[in-house]
Amino acid sequence: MIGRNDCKSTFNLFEKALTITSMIQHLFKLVWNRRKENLLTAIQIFAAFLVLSLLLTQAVHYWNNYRQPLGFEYKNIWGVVIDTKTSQFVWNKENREKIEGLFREIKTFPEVKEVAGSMMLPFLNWNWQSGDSSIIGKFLNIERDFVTDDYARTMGLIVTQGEWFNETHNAVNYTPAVINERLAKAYFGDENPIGKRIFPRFPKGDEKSYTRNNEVMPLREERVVGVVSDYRKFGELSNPPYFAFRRSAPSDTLMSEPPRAIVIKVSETGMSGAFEEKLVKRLEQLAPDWSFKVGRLEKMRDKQLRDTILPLIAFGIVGGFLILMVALGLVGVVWQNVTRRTREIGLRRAIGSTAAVIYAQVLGELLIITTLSIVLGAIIFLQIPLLKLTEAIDWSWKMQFETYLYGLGLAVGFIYLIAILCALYPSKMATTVAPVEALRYE
Amino acid sequence: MLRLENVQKVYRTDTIETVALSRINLNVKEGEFVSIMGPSGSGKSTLLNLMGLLDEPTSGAIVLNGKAILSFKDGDLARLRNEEIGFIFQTFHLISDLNAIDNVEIPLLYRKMNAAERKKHCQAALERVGLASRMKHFPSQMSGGQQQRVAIARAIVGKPALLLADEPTGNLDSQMSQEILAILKELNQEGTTIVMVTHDPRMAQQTQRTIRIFDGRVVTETQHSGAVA
Amino acid sequence: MLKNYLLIAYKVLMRRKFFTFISLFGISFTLMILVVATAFLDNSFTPQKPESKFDRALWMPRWRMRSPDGNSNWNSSGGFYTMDKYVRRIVKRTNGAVEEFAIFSNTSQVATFLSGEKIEFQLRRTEGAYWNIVDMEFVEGAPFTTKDDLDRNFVAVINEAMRNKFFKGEPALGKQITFDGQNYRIVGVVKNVPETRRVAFADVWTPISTDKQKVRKTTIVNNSDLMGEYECIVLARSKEDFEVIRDAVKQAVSEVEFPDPKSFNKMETMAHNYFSLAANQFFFDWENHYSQDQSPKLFSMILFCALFFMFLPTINLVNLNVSRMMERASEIGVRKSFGASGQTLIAQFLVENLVLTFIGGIIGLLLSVIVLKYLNESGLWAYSNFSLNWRVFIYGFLLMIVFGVLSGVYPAWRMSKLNPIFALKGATK
Repeated sequence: MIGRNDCKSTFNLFEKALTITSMIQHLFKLVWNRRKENLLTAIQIFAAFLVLSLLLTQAVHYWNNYRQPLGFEYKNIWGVVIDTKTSQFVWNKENREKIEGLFREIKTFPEVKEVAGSMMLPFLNWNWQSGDSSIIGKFLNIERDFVTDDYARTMGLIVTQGEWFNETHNAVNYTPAVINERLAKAYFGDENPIGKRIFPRFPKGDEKSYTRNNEVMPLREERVVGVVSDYRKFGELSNPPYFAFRRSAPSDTLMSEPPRAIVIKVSETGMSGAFEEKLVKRLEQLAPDWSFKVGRLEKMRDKQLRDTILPLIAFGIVGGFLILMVALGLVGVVWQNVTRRTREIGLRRAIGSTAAVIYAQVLGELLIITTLSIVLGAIIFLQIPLLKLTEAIDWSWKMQFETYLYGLGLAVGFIYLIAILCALYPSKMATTVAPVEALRYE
Repeated sequence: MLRLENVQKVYRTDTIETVALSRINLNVKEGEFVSIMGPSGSGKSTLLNLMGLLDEPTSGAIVLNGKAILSFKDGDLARLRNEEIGFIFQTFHLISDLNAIDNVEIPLLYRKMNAAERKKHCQAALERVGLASRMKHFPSQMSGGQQQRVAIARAIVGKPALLLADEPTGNLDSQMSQEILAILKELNQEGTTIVMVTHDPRMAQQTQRTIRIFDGRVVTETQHSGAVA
Repeated sequence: MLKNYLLIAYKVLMRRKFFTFISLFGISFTLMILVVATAFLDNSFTPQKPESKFDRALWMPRWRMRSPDGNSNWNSSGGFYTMDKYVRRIVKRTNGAVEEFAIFSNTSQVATFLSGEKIEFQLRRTEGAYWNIVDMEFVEGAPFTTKDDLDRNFVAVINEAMRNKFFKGEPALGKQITFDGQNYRIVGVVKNVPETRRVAFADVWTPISTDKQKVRKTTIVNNSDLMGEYECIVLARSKEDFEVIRDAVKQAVSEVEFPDPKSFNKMETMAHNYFSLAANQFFFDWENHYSQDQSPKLFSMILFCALFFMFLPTINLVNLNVSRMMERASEIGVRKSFGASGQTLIAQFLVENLVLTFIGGIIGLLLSVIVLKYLNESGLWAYSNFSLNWRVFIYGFLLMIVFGVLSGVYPAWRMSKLNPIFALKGATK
């Protein structure tokens, strides 16, 4: 008995599958027979699909970036940019005294908790990059910065391996470096990165010197002393970077420079305008031949976020409008299709058949057209990452292949949803009119 | 006035060839009122379409006013239809967005004629069919008979020599049918040649000649001596 | 005839309000976005007050020095020394082709405190000649002069926005403002200049010599002194002199002497307008960044984008129109029976579509006025003045016609090809 039931249900399933296949075949025939009309709809869906894929790929890309931790804090921190009015800024006695004097003076403010120096502030689009392919045979663009020993404490960096820069590094015969986990993984895999050399990059170390200010300077090896979780100085929406800090200390005049930016962690009361004025006045007093720009890191973050988001919003509005328009257009076309069949629908209902059959057909046709458009659209869309089309343009479009796939997947789901909604609404409307209205319709 | 010589019309689909008309020879003389009868599917509508230059025969020739219509361009055919032929349909085919006078105006729009003159002609045509009082009415505000009279006005406003009517009374009750037929007869007496497709033998009776077709062939031709003439 | 077409168009539009809405929505938003984009491009790239002379200006904002092997590049705005010593040579060498030459810094954000309140503004340091190249409208006073610059007078020109902030809108002439630890006497107040006017824009202008750094040097010791935060601009007598001036600039730049020629030995710059600068930044060609004008590329790309952007709404409208054609089959049949030729029907349908496009276009123009007003008020660009001027209006109008014809031609053609017999039957069966 059980066997027979099984057999029967299998058969039913088979039969069902058969009816579905023949139904789909039938639909394909219908679509093909009306290919002239359907071509326009297909082009429309195809173009909308491309737009949607682009939009959603961007969305996925930025969402992925946004989810990852920043690696540092920006609340209750002032950033100061020093314009030293010289292009060469080295650890000479004068500069050292001036900088150390500034730091000492800032620390005397009661609101100030921590002070540290760096070459550049985060969230401003300044960068110092170095890259090479000698270590792992693949080119990595590494973001760099000089920072002082107090930088990790001030900015809330999280040291996960080894140690941060400190006084003990004054005595070593190499230049210490702290890298982020991403770089550690890319360069050294699962090996312990501590003590490894990242500069000079040449494995044989055949370059022992470099030129600076017309002077030939010897090169010091730069070795990893610690690893921090991350330091995404370009903000939450930026691509996670490979990062390496170099220690800025007067003990290393060879490889390091004095800081040209100051970060100041303060208490809540220290975020007031009054503090800012006090700070600026004091700084200008201490170094009258320098210029200072002071700002809240939080504000700089907001500005950078805004600058990144605004073009995306504009792009999103335009794309969203295009898709809404296509959706409305599809509703119109399907509506027309349904009204044209209204008499048929009315007749069928009059003789007792369900209108659902016809709606299923209308929906099925649209879904087939959608599927064909999507297949073509996906093939073309994937050429963007495959042929690296965006690399000709100076854009932040360097995204992983998976991002394109996710974006594409979302777009497929979205466009099917739109197609179904566009088919359902007019069908529903038609049901409410038929059959009396339908038969009258002439 | 209108002659069909060996006219054949074949409809082809992928697999099937349907002969709608085979070797029709027919001559409509000037001033005649001819009716065409036949069961549905016999090819009478196809015949009328060919006569009205709406369709081209597969083979054979259509001769209108002594000129063979074989290879006219779209524009020339349009001009001929406009000037020589008027159409009346079973379902009237009035444009629902236009009122009576605007509907009647249509054929004149495709001629170079100024608005005042057009208006004069349209009013005359509507008066001719007895609708002078309903010029501003829309099709939906009129009965079937009135709508068909508007359609007739539209057909005659351009003063065509030939009027083609495809079951003009098919959608009307007998009283209205009579009214319509009366108008057609009057027009005929005034010199318009009329070809009318009909189902109704009583209507056919009142024309001068009835052509019966069956399966795409002319079966019989009957002269009605007692009719108008 | 036309009246009849218009009448029919009106009736058709009113009969199917839903379709009319869909069509109008598509048309008006498409045109709105295109018009806003056009207004934006027009505002950004055509010479406008206070830069109305810029159609005969050559502007050199970006500079690059290269190492002997070409692998190392320093890419930024230029050094005052380079422009002052070398580029200025072109004035004498071109026999009067140069009407005016000026060096000025790019803007930098400056903050100062006035009775406890922070005032932030954009500062530009310029030579006196700068004021002969831009045609600023002075509300008070006059620009500072070349003599002010050479004498290191601490004078400043401010805009109205700054006068409001510093002096609550009261006359500012002769009053003092303090920033960067220095006091400046106000000699002039100008109308606000939009941020999109890259050369003219600033909140406060002061002479170059007032910078804390000694800008005017007679000798330099580092290569880096050849670079800096300066730009220069050449006003030619006429556009015909551009080639002569370009060659002279090339020659002058090739004469630059490097303190350390082992690190860098080649200086490059390029005369730009706003469009070519945008083009070269967008299509960044490492090797030819300072020799090849990428404007044609950017132009074709903008054109392509505009066409692509119009493509989708067009297809949408075409599809809608074609599918609606069936509804009007009877009308088409009747018209054909009564002697309408294919052309007449095409004309009728085009008129209908153009009417629709015009209505949509007018809505679109109104919407763009609102959007532009909103953009101006949003403060995204300081003192921006995006507007629908007559030029943009004409572009918008042309776009409207193109769009109407594009989206009407195919359906009209299909309509004219519709077999009248089928059309007449189609309505009944």
